[in-house]
Order: sequence, then C-alpha cells, then structure tokens
Amino acid sequence: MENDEVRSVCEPPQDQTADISLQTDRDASESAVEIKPNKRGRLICFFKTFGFLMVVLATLVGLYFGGRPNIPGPTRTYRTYTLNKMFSERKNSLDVLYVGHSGVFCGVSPMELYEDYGFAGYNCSQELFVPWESYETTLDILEEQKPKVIALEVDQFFYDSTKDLTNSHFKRLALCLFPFRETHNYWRDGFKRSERDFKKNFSVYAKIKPHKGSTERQYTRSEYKLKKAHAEYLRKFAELCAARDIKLALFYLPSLRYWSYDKYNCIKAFADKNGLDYFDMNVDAEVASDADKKWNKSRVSIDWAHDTRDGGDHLNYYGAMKSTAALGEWLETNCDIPDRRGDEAYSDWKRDLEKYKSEVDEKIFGNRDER
Amino acid sequence: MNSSMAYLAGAIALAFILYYSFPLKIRWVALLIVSVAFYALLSTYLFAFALCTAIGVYFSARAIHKRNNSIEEPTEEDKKRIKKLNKTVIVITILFNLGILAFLKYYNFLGGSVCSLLNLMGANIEFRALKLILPLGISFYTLAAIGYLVDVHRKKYAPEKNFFKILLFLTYFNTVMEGPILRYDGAATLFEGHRADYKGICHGFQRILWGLFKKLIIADRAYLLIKTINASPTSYSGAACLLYILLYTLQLYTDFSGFMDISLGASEIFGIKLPENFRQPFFAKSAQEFWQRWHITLGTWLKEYVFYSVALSPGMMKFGKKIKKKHKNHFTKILPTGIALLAVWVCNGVWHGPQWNYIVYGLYYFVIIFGGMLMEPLFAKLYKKMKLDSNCIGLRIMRHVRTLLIIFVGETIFGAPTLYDAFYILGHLFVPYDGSVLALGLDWKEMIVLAVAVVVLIAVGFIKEKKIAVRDGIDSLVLPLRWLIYVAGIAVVIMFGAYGSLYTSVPFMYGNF
Repeated sequence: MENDEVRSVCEPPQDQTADISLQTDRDASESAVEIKPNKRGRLICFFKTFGFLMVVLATLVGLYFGGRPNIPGPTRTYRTYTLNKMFSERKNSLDVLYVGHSGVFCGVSPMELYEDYGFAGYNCSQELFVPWESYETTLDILEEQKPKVIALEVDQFFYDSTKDLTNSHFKRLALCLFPFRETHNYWRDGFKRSERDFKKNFSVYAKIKPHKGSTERQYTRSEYKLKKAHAEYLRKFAELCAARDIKLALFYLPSLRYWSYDKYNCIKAFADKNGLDYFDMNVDAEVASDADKKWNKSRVSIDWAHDTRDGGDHLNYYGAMKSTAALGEWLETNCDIPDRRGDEAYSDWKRDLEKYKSEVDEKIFGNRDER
Repeated sequence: MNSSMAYLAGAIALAFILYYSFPLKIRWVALLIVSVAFYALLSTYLFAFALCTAIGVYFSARAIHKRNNSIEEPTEEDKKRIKKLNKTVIVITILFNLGILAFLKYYNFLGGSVCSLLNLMGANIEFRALKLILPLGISFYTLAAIGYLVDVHRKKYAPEKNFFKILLFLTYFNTVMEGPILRYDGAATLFEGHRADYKGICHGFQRILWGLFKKLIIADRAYLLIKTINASPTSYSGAACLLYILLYTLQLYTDFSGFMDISLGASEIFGIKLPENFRQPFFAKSAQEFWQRWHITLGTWLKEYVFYSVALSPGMMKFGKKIKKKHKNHFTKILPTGIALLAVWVCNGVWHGPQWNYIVYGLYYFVIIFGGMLMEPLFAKLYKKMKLDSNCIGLRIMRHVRTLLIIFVGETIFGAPTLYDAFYILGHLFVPYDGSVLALGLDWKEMIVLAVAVVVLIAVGFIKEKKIAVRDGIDSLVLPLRWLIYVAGIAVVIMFGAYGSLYTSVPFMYGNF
C-alpha cells in the first residue's frame, strides 16, 4: 500500500498544519528580536490598562446600583433568589416567620398552615443557613414586617463543622466582592421587583430516598454544649424578640441524621431558663416531660423509609405534611396568630393557595422535582 | 463559576504576576511553579502519578537517544540491535503509562464486563469494584507523554535535557485539565521567555471573554434542559427529544471549545501559542472533515501514533500487498486503511472512558467513514450516469445537512446517560410530546437568551470560516469604540451568564475524560 494512500485518509486540515508549523518554526530568537518598549510607551500602556480597568469597574458599579433598587431585599448577606422574594410581600402582612436552614424549606409548608389555620407565614430559610445569617436576614425582614411570632428551628445552632462555617463565610466574602452572583439574573423579571412566591419559600420534593439502618436514638441526660458563637446568636434571637414584642417559639424538625437527646436537653434547658416554648418533633413520648408529652405522643410519626428525600437528613413532601401539621397544631395552641383566611386584605393569599395546590398536584402526581 | 474555574482563574492571575516578574530566560519556571501548585491543589497526592509519568518518559527518551548515538558508524547488525533494545524500552514505558491509565480508568468497567460475561456462561464470580480516583488530566498527559516518546524514537527531534521542562510540558496548568493535547515540538513557545506584549495580552483576554461567553451563556444554560431530560430520558419524546439532541451537541461544543478559548487565551497572555482544538466543526461537509475540525489534537494524535503505527507497520504492509495481489478491487485496496481506521476509532471511543456509549460512538464514526470510502466509486459512477456535477450547490447543501445529522446522532450516543437512553431518544424523535417544552428547565426567557447567543456564535463561526480577522478589526477601531465592545462583552457575560443559585454550576465536561 502506498503511503500517500494512507495519508490521504486522515490528512490534517490545512490550517492546522499551518498552525503547528508556525509554532515549530518560531524560535527563541524571534522573541528576542521583539522591540523593547521605551519608557514613554510603557507609561502609556500602564495608563491605558489602568484607565480600562477603571472603566470596567465603573460599569460594574453602574450595573450593580442600576439594578439595586429593583432587587427585593438587601444583599449584604448570602441569600438566594427564592428567599429574596420574601421582601416582595406586602409590608406588615406576615404574622409568623419560620426561621432556619434547609430543614425549614423542606419541612414546613406555610401555605398548608394558611389553609388550615389562616397563618400568614413565610419560610425565612436558606440552604446551610448558620445562626448569624438567619439572624441578619431576620433583622432585614423585620424592617418591612411586624410578625407576631418567630418560629425558630434550632438545628442550625448545632452546625459544628468548620467547613460549613468557612464555606458560609467564604460565600459571604465572595458575594461582597462579586454581588452579581445572586443578583445578575434579575433581568428575568424585566428588572422589576420579583413576583411574590406563592409557596412562601417551601420546596415541594416528591423524591423518596429511604433511610437504611437503625432509627433508634440513644437516650442521655447530658447536655450538648453549644459553641460560643452559636449560643450568642440563640441569645440574640431571644433578646431581639423580647425587644420587639415578638413571641419566640423554638422547634426542632424531625431529623434522623443530626438530632440527638443531648441537643434536645440543651435547647430544653435554654427554653426553660428563658421562659420559651419548645416543640421537639424527635423526642419520644416516654422521655418528654409531662408538659411536653402532649406534643410528643406520636404526633410526628415520620416513616424514615418513605418521608425523606435523602436518606434521613431532609424531609420530602410527605414528611413535610406531617411535620407541618404538627407545627400548626402546636402554634395554634401556644401562640396567638391571627386567622387571615377571611381577611379582604389577604385576598392575594387565596390566589397563592390555588397556585400552590396546583403545583403540588403537578409535582406530586406528575412526580417532578424542583431545585 | 465552579471551583475548578475559580482555581484556574487564580492560577492565571498568579502566573501573570510571577511570569512577568521572573527574568526573561527562566520565565517558564514561573509557569512550572504555578502548574505544580495548581495540580497539587486540585489533585493532591495524585500528583505522584503525573510525576511518575514525567520521570518515566524523560529517562526513556534520554536512553533511546543515547543508544541511537552510542556508536559513531554503526553496522547493520548494530542498528538492528539498537532498534530492538529501543523498542523494548519504548514498549515497556508505554505499557507502564497505559497500564496506570487502564487500571485507574477501566478496571471497574473491564472487570465488571468480564465478570458479567463469565456469569452469563455459568460461572459464579462476584466482582468487587474499587473506588478509584483519577489524577487530574491523566488521559491528556498520558497521550502527550507517549507522543513525545514515540517522536524521540522516530528521531523527529532530540529529547529534552531538562527534566523540569518535561514536567511543565505534561502538567502545564492551561492544558492539563482538557487539553489541547500538546506535541513536544509544538510546545516550544512554552519554554521561551516572552516579553509582555500589549497586543498579545489584549488578544488573550479577548479570547478568555469569548470562552466565558460560550461556557456561561450557552453551555451552562443549555444544561438546564439537558439536566431535566437526563434525569429520566425515557419519559420524553418528540420536541423534547429534538431539543435534547440539539442542545446536548451545543452544550458539549460550547463547553469544550469555550474551555479551549480560555486555555489558549490565557496562554496568549504569556506569548504562548498552543495548537487549536476546534475549527468551526459544524461547517464540515463530511464526517471525516468533522474530525479534522473537532477535537483536532486528539484526531492528530490518533492519526500520528495509532493510524500510521498500524497502517505502516511491516505486517500490515505485507498483508496489504498480499491481498492486493490476490484480488485487485476497491475493497482490497482500502482494507488495510480500514483496519488502521478501526484501530483509531476503537481507541477514540475507549479513550473517552469506560462506557459503552463511547465505544459505540467510536465504532459509529468508523462505520460511517469506512462505509463512505467503500461507496466512493459507486457514488462517482452514479454522478457520472446522472450527469451530476459532484460539486454542484444542491449536493453541497445535501452534504452539509447529512453531516449535521451524523454529528447530532453521534453526540446523542456520546452524551445520553446510557446507550439505551440514546437509542430511546433517537427512536422517539417522531413520537409527539404532549408536555410543554418550556417546562423542561428552559423557560421562554432563557430560550430567548440562548437563541440570541447561538445566533452570535453562528455569526462568529461564519466570520472565522471566511477567515476575516475580527480581532485585528477590533484593534484598528478607535479607543472609545474598542473599549465599548470589551466592556459590553464583560457586562453581557456577567448579566446573562448562567451562574449563581438559579443555575447549576457545571464543571468543564471534558475534565472527566
């Protein structure tokens, strides 16, 4: 077989041959021949670069401030688009805030509580929310809303992984340096204030990923010792609510992976000391004190083979329905939250409920996940 | 922006500072420092694998060269002896490197496949899969290392004396993740000291911006739909499948070529010229031409080191001559080429990874290209009979359309989660889809942005195909206009890039290969 024949089958493109030969032919002497720019040239070059960077910076600042008035809510802390929609709610319309990390937007459905009890509530929650972030977000939202109750999910006070904290600090820093990460896609709303979230920051997860292994918990009388920073923010929440005449209600959503008796004991001690109500959905009826027994007697019978979307960490829609029902009953009994169902001013919540219902129908029966 | 992108950005920035603060002669050392740090950061102790490869090929190449020049006037016998010894060295080194790659990449696949086969035949063997982590860019640097060794063996150039230059050649931070697969003689600019060149730096940043446009605005946006369908490919049909086929190819192209733009642009900042990996692949008129425009450096590598090695091997030459003597027809004429092509396409498929998708993908192109070669005389006769000019516009358009179909089908086989899914998607293309395509992750707003970006991409493709020097055109504009273009480009990427919490950050796709 002739070599030419072989070569003709897989001939390199002409351009590429040119490219490669260009590189091979270019020898060291070529760069040495390059003319060394003179001092004036260098100065011009420097000023040009500096000038260009200033123009870019000015454009970025312009873009940021140009879009800023349309961004619901301040962006100095790490929040996502969905949570920011909380700031699009009518002023002073929210009566209860459900504050916490991802457990809350997976496990509490404010629209179910609106339907059953007429609570006008919102999930002030975010993935990997650590106490200082949820505290700052709560402070921000209190500028616009005057809730009667803050229902605080307490699992966030037990994040003891340094990685989570570093991650959260890193994200905050990155967002300070590059605020566009969370704001650039506001073009999607035509640069207007974003639409209200009819699910009130609840995520409908249809996925079932069963927990494998034991669901037994080891009983202990010992108390978990909160880290200094975490304890400080728990105290700050209590002080903030006391100062603004808001009832602070503590609760712990069902959590197989992270909950333990020492954590329950820790929050229970804090609640007792500060005269706060605490509803732990994990503790067994036998262990709960007499006062708590009413609330822990199989009220939240989570089936960890069905009600979780990730093998025992977060609840899915089915688990969320159970925990939401229990939370609703507890809040109804312990807190004085107005029923807004017949309120004319809340007619938009009726429409939100319809949209919410149809999305649940589609996602649960159509079995499609979001996020 | 994902973590590997952030690390790369950091590496480029650090290299920029170090490179231009080092003395001219040793500026490549700055690149080496950054490359090693970059590798160690992303792949930690797995750097040892890259180091082993570098040491292996460095000493082998030196040994081969030394032996070649050991006798001043060698007799025929000496030549034979040297050739045999060198062959042993090269085979051992290549097997060693391919062995590492094969073990880390294909152990689970091959072991699992063999076990399933044996179990089918009645054996009862339980295969234990190992948790193997791949060192960064192993598929890319292994090919570069083998290429270097073979070239030295073929006496194309003398081996490098400085080990650290070999280490840089293999682990250069701009190419280690996804290529382009370098050839040592094509990487000479890597080791030269370049003075800061205003034009080169400007062009470099321009190209990085263009790469980010492709990656962030097109590829990661297209992924919104791909992600939805990949989760359950068998629930879709019709328009949803069509969109999947179009957008997956688009995503793969813009993701991979976008990274190439970033990589080549970042190198341009240091005055380094790397080989191009893409040249408007969708303008190809045949499958063969497509591969001269798509992942060019892989195609060139396979041609140089697999195709020629097989086609020009003494055994194959002998076989070719023998078979031609016996039956002189078109088939026997092209059969040896076909065998070499089969080797190329099997290697191409296998190189991409341990999945049946990739192997079928390679064979798919083999069948098309070899089939085309077989049919060539038939078509020539047909054109003659029909008195058709084979270059007429109708046929040219038909060829383009045919090639595009081949490409889209090929990339669907390549990209679907499993081979079954790929055929399911292709098979359900004409079954009507009753859902809304706007509910597949790309709503109409995202669709519009994507469509506009694709129009820009195609327009730029046309301009490049016509060999119009856009960048020189921008250079010749007055300063305010020039800056306006740059600033607008930056603003567009920032505003319309698919990053942040509404989108999924997708690592560069070829980083997995």
